[in-house]
Amino acid sequence: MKKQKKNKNLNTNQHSFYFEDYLETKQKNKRVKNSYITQDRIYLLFFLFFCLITIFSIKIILVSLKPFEIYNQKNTSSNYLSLRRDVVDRNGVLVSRNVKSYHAAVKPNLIKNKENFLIKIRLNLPDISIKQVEKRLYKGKYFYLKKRLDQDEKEKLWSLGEKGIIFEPFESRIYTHANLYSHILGQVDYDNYGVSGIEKYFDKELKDKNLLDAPLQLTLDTNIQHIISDELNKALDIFKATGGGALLMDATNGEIISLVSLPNFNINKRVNITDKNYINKITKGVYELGSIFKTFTVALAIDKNLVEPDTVIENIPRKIRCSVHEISDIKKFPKDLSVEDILIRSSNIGTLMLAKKVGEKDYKNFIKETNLLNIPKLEIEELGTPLSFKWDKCKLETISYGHGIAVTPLQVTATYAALVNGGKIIEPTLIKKEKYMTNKKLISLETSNKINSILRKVVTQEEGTASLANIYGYDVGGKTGTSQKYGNKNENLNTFISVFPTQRPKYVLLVMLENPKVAKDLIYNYRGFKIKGTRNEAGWNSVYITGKIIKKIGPILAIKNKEFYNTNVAEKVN
Amino acid sequence: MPKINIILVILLFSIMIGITSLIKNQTRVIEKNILKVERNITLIKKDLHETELDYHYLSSPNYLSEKIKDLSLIEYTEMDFSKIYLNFEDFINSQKKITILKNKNEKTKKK
Repeated sequence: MKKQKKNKNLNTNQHSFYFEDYLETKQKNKRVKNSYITQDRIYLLFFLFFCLITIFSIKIILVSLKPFEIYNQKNTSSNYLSLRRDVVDRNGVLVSRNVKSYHAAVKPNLIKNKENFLIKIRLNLPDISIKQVEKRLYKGKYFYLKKRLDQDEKEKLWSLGEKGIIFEPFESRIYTHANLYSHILGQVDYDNYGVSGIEKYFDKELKDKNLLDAPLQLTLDTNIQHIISDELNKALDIFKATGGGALLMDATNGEIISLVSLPNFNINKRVNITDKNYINKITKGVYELGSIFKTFTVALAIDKNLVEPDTVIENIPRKIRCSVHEISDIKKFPKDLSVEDILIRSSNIGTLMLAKKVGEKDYKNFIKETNLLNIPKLEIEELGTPLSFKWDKCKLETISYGHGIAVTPLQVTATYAALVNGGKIIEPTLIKKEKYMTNKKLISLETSNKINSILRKVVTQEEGTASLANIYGYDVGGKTGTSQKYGNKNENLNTFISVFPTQRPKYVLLVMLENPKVAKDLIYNYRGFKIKGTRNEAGWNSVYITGKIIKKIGPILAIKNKEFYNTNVAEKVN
Repeated sequence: MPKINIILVILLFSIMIGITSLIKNQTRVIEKNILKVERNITLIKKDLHETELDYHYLSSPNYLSEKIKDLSLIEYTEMDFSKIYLNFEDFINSQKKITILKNKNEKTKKK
């Protein structure tokens, strides 16, 4: 071909230059030219086909290499993706989860017999105002019949077979334990945004798409929470108290194992609660917790090497006048009391004298280090602000025995944990972590050990105020506090903060009751004697309930905590 | 020679395309099966999701303690052995006996 192209101007049939037939040559040239054009057309066609084949093969290769997920996602319309992570307790027990729920809406133009429809709604959903439904129905616009249907309601409406009822799917949050965690978990709104409690605090983390399969683990224990809640509910009934609260904390790392505040409410139901009695009393409530503060004063005096537990404070007066206030003890105590006796018998004036020895400056530093006057840190939104005050003339004296200082029970428990765990300041937490922050020391290990032995004596000694919490096998120690409510002297607050086992405290339990009355029908087992209820101090209600709680939760804690089990649970020899 | 080369290339190309489409068809079948299995897994997951919720609700300490309370409140009524019938015929026979006895008693009373 190339040769032919090269000799394009030469006639191949030409034998001699001189005998060339010009007419014949011309025709031949034409034919050759035509054959070249056909050849070019074939090449063009071939090229076009080649391009098409290449394009198709590239497409086939691309389709083959298409990732499987993309193909899959389009077809799996039934794939259920939750919008919010689960929340579980420390043992993996489910506490809250998102489920598919339905709103019932109505398309009026699809309903043929409107009167019949109204009768059916009246019969099946009697709670709904029929007049309103009728109004909306005749307006002809799309409207919601009922939001958040439960299973029964959905089935009832479904069985009506009305085309006009539309079931709008949405995700709702279900709390498996209803009332049990109402003050901790909080709630979410219809759009799955946390509006209170942990749901609000961890809103971002709970909606993190990368973590949807990993539940948020709390430090709380459902079984223990139930036991404490149950006992506290019984206590409200026995002592006719208006409210109560309890907090169980791991003294070594600040893990909150149980947090109960009564009255509580069912978080599965959306109700606007305005009653102040429904606040979280442990984290939001701010109270004068009374004699519990005496432990802080005694610990501080011992830690500053001003006194020892057996140091005798002589000539303790019956009354002390401070500015306009007159400070006295409820009972008559001996004139000379040792430091531990001051705490065991709960002497106001004895504690006041110790506080004076400590001095205002050191006491202020102590309160600053414990953060008692700042807003506490915890992973929920509902936190109370301790009442601020001026350190005027009688402040040190009153604060030394727990009056004139109003803080949250959460803060007091955390400070107590620091006093008994060897002196390490801990941060209370509701979330299970791998590592816990242990900040600086509040008091020395020696002081902590001394305080623990005094707290044990509060429970074991005859003069102690907490004999009813002496539960065999658990070495319970603690301090009672009976006080009037801040701003309302007619209301009282009885608190008992216990630690166990006192040899090496692992748990701190605070129990408080609001306005408890004398339980006349209750028969106490007091140091082996059966006696009827005649008194109304913390030792006769909060301590009694603490004893009941420890008796029930003790074995559970012992099983779960080998360390505790090995040192505190007696083995049967026979 | 050049023509043979071209034919060979085209042949090879068309064979390759044929094989690719075959493989593609087979993978499509496999993909369909995978899809079916995945759908089943999703449904089972959904079931598990709901069943887990039911389990945690039904085994919650509050629910269990309520059930225990309910069960302990049941007052069992005493029943004579004679009132327990093994079958329907047994029941009819005993009823007949009762009526006969009643009739007899009435007759004796009248006398």
